Amino acid sequence: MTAMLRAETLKLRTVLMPRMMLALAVLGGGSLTGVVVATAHHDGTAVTGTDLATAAAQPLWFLAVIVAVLSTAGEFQHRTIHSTLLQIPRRGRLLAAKTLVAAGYGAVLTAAGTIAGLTVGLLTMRLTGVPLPGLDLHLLATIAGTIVLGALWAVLAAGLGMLARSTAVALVALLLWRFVLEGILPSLITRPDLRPWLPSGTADAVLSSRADLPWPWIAALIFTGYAAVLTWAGAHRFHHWDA
Amino acid sequence: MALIRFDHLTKRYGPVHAVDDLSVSVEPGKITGFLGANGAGKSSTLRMLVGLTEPTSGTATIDGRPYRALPNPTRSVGTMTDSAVFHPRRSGRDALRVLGTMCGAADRRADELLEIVGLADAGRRKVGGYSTGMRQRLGLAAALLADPATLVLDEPANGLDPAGVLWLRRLLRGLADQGRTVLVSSHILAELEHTVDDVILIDHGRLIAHGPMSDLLTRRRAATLEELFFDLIADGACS
Repeated sequence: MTAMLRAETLKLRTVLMPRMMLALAVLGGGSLTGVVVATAHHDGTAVTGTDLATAAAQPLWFLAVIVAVLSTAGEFQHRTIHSTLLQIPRRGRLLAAKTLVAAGYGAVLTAAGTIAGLTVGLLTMRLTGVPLPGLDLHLLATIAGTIVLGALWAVLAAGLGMLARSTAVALVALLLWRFVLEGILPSLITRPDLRPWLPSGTADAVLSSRADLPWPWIAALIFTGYAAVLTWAGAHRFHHWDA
Repeated sequence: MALIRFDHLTKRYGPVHAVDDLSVSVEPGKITGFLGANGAGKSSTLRMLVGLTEPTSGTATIDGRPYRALPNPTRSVGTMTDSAVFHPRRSGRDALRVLGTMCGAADRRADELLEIVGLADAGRRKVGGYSTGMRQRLGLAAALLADPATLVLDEPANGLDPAGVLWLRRLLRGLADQGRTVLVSSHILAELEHTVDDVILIDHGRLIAHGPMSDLLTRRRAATLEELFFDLIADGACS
């Protein structure tokens, strides 16, 4: 298993896209959080530590999703899955290695972007003379939650990539689901309260303390369930696929 | 050294029999040509041998074990399925390093093989910029990565220029002379005529002939492998 994990990591390190996304996460995380702080300062509204930690969360997760989809669906697109399967014919183990490495990459990317965001945000606050937020347990939990969700989004995307076997199909499906279906589905079935229980709704609820949303740990469990279902579906299709 | 055995191997895709009850063995220390027209079932057979495709029935084994049951399969069997199995934006050297990491081969083995297949100067270039012949050579390097006792090569001469074909012949002969089992498929019969010791001829998924090439040519009074092939197809023979 160690060799498989090392090989999957090397795959990410030897193409440009994952490194580009990591750089973009640091730059984007920093810039977005800086803009949030500057705008709040301009409007005279308060900025909390949680605001700093979550300002760039969704774009960071999306970057992790792109790389995770490429790491699985890309294998089929470039047909590298053939040489991979010759080395590792046990498909379950291969998928487990891919899922773990995707989760690790998602966590690292989200952590890098969040740390960059916090750094730029705190610097901007200091430069503009705004009092700095204190480091408390709630802030630490929010940072940890953001990073864990980055890993889980990557797992979900890796499963979707394995299911779709096409990067374009997987990414379009994900975007359609996130921005169209999750928006209109609750209205279509006249259940507007359904949204927080759908995949991105639960991910958002993990980091929220609003009373009308599911408890963060319940939302985290449900989101993990969505990721597990997609991983299982991808594994099932992969297992029965003739290369 | 390893013995490859196909035992009543069958693969059906709906009503189509890609491989039909194929039973034959491949001996070590020889180059065995696996020959047939396009669509004869060669690639399907080789994919079943290396676990990429599930047989409908029958078995394909290496030293009595299916490929997927081998502990570290690429240490036993080096395979080249086709040349387009490398990420176009990864360098040739990195492609070999990735595969080497999976099978426990050191990075210096990748450099060694790039030298052997004549890609030492192109190793740091992206595979997307390689010619078909260069990708074939990279595919051969990937097959040899873990120094396997058995080689399964699907159309390895595709895209090679005449000098490349000559180089391939010498490489395969050298490997067989070391006692390795070498199974090479091709639909261009003349290409392998000067390379192989034994031949397995298939048509429409069925075995039509197998044995030492010289014996088959003598028995059928054929001057070339092509002549032998068309003669056998016309007869529907099986020897």
